[in-house]
Amino acid sequence: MLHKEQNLETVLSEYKKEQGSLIPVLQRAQAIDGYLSKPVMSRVAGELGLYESDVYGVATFYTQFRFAPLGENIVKVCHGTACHVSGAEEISDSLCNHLKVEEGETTADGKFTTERVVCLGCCSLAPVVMVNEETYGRLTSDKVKKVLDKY
Amino acid sequence: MITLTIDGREIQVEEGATILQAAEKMGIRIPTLCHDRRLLPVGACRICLVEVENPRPGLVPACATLVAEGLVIKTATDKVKKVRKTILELLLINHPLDCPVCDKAGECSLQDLTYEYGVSENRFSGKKAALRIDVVSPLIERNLNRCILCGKCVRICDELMDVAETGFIGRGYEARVGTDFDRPLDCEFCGQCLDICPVGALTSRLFKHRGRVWELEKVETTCAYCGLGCAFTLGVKRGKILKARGADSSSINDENLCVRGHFGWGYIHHPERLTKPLLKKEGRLVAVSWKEALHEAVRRFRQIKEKVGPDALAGIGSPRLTNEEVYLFQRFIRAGLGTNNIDHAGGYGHAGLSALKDSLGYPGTVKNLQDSDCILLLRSDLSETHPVAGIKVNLAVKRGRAALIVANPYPIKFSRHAKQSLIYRPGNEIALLNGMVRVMIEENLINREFVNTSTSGFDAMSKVAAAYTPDKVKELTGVEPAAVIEAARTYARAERPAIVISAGYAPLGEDDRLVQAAINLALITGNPEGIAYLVERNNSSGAFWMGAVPSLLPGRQPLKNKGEFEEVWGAALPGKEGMSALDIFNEQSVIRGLYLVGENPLAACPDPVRTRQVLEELELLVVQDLFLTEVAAMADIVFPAAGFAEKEGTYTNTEGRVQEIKPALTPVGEARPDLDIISELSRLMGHEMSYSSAAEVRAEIKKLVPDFEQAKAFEGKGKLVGIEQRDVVEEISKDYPLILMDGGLRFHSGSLSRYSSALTGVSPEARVEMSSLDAKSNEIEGGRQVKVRSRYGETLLQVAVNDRLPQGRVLIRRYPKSGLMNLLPQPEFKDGRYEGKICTVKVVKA
Repeated sequence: MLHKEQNLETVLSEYKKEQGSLIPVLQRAQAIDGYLSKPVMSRVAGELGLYESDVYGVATFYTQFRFAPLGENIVKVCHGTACHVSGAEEISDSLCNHLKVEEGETTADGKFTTERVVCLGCCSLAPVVMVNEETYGRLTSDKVKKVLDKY
Repeated sequence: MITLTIDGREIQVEEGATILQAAEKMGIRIPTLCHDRRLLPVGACRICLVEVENPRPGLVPACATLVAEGLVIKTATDKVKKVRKTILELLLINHPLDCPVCDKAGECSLQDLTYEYGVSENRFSGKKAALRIDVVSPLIERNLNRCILCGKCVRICDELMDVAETGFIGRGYEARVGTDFDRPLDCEFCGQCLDICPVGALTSRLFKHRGRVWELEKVETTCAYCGLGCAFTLGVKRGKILKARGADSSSINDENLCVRGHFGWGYIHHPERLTKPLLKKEGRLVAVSWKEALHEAVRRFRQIKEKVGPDALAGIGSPRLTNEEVYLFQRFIRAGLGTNNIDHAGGYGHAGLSALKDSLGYPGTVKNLQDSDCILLLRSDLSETHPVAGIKVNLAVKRGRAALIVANPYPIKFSRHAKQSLIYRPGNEIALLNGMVRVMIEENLINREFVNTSTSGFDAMSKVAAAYTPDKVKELTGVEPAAVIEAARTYARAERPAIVISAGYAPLGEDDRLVQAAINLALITGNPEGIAYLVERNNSSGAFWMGAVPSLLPGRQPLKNKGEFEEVWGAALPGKEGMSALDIFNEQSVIRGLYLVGENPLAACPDPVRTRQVLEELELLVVQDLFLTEVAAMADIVFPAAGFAEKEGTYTNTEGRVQEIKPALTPVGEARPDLDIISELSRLMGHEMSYSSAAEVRAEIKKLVPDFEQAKAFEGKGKLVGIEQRDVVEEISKDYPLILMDGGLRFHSGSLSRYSSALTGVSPEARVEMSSLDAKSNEIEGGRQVKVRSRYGETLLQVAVNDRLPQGRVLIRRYPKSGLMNLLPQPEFKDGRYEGKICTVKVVKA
């Protein structure tokens, strides 16, 4: 933990005096823990002389920032054009129901984090889901549940 | 000037004006949703689009487009109407049509525009938002499903209030207004966002399901909390106030209000209001008729007067009374009872006003604070004491780039924007000011011409100031020499600098000295307009000007001028100076009968034990109040009085402006306006008073005080007086190692706010704040109960530990039950004046 705090200190001291440095600071802060926690964002706001609402507003504007720890496995559901017409919505619904989470959330046991992405570049396999670095194609709402059993 | 044409008519406006402002000037209405004249334009909603014909045809937002020479604008072409209608259709995609149960209905801009543009069908459809309604936050209900993202609440919270409680969260279709991590609101609860919200996204919990907007009778009146005297409109339905909103752009508050103004009026409907006169019979207060109570009071006043003499009687009024009431009250005490033993609010309030009158000739000004280019906030925790004046400071600093110098014994909200934050030893502000004066004289930063032509006493004053070398100032205040020099230079070089002082936070007997020291600074630099002295109560100024003072008659006339008053009042007046409130509660008090109007010395005077003793020993105590306060419970006779919304009259604000209050309600039960009670009492006492209205009283006041309602301003002559820093802090010892600082609290003001459930509901429990270093060395944990002990008494409080407070000091804000008064010393009478001290305390685990 100490190590992490020191890291945040370094980031803040590096950027403190620089105008318009909020986004790089948030990016580096996220790199430390994998997400942006409330105490981290309060600290960033305090050090940069910004309001917490501003920092939260900026962070939520960009999809690159996360506000909860990531799960062990990242499940990316493709919503590109090909997947969309092949029923990506159903895949997402089934996945989320199965894991009892909303899109973008992490399961209570910390095992999976779901994510909605746009085109994974393998449209011939639509609809597609990627778990970590592994790609699964031609899925149905049932098949996708079985995929998860492997993890 | 720029000439342009709007809807076929030419108009000239100043450069920098917007098309919207030009149109408004011509009486042409352009609809807006995201615009408010107090905020910077953003042009977000596009409903104000107008058509430009020349030079480059197209549609532009009127609120965010500046005028240009030769511009030809049309505001209501078919094209414009069509576009506006489309915008409304787009807004209505996800705005729920729950108007029948929406509290905004009737004053909703979206509803009004939808009606005006005839949007009966929508070509578009989409998902309606289904966000959870925030019913957890106090006072303010947030239903973001109705939000149209105009951003006005976000901007007023940031630009004016400098709180930025909420911001835009997320983006695109998901974007909403919210707090960080969607927590409930935990802000100043000023309620500005409620007033500015054009739809029903933000509504008042106090108004929820209690009426429709069109059922409300609107009464424009004056807020009765602090000395700014903000104009506001009360919404009344069937004898109940349900709403208040800021009013009148020409008033001091420019439509803004703070938490007290928006939500603090509920005490008027408190179930514990006194509804009947009370008389002590066999040791118990019982309800009696007005006739019995009044006759009994008169009989016993007379008894004491005949037996001991009129100077055994005294009256203490409240700075909450109207001018007319204070005037009649002092007339009754002087002409009816025959004594000058009259005062108000423990005699604290008027010292500073007196100094302003003597040395500046007028009470200072607040209204244009936002145009200053340098502001010295001197012992002024404005976001707590006078939040609406704080708005002006925010505007000057954030919008006008004014240099802000915060001089306070502890950091305040404004410190974050300060160019300089001078944290000095409590009670040593005079040394700091003298030090600045010395630097200015030394570095020749003063306005010689102004000093020569418009002031007197420069040489004597500069001799006093000369002793305050940077080193001496450092020794007294703890502020570094370089900081004092920089502050002096910043102030002296500014074109329109202002000094802001909150009244009543200096040790007793110091306010006039502090004000004079500040006047010295303002005058030597030629800035007599740059003084804002902010009094505590709605009519602190009036109580002083109307003569609720032992040594002065109305209009601040000395007692020797009593002839004119005797003539108008038709009675002989006493010539001997009377006793002040401090004299009255002194050990040697000779008072046998006391008449208190709206005043509770047990809460307002230091050393409540002694005060109680004096009260107990009285033969007669008559109390006139809204509630059975601690002191009313001790009284022999209690008169139930009407509150600010139940009577008519005027208050004089801190700038000397006389402002009307209007009755919105009839008094509760048998309560009567103070004006009626006092005149009837006087009549029965044999001193005739008969008035059918406050205006009649006012006419009489104007006869005796011709400049009563005149605007006050600097009249070309100011006085410089050297003021020495007195040693005001008690000895710091092992037994009492910490200096006690006394601070304001925005949720409370005097004794009425504690009867407002809205205010008590959002104000934290009474606390003592201390620095984490002091807490550590005393082994005290935050959140625990502690005992704060001074040489005079002690109080039990929760402790809040923070890193902001300087070491060696503790801060107690004026919560209703803080027990602050238990800790304070009785002021000493020295060289003809009372001198208080800042006390030292010890904090121990409870």
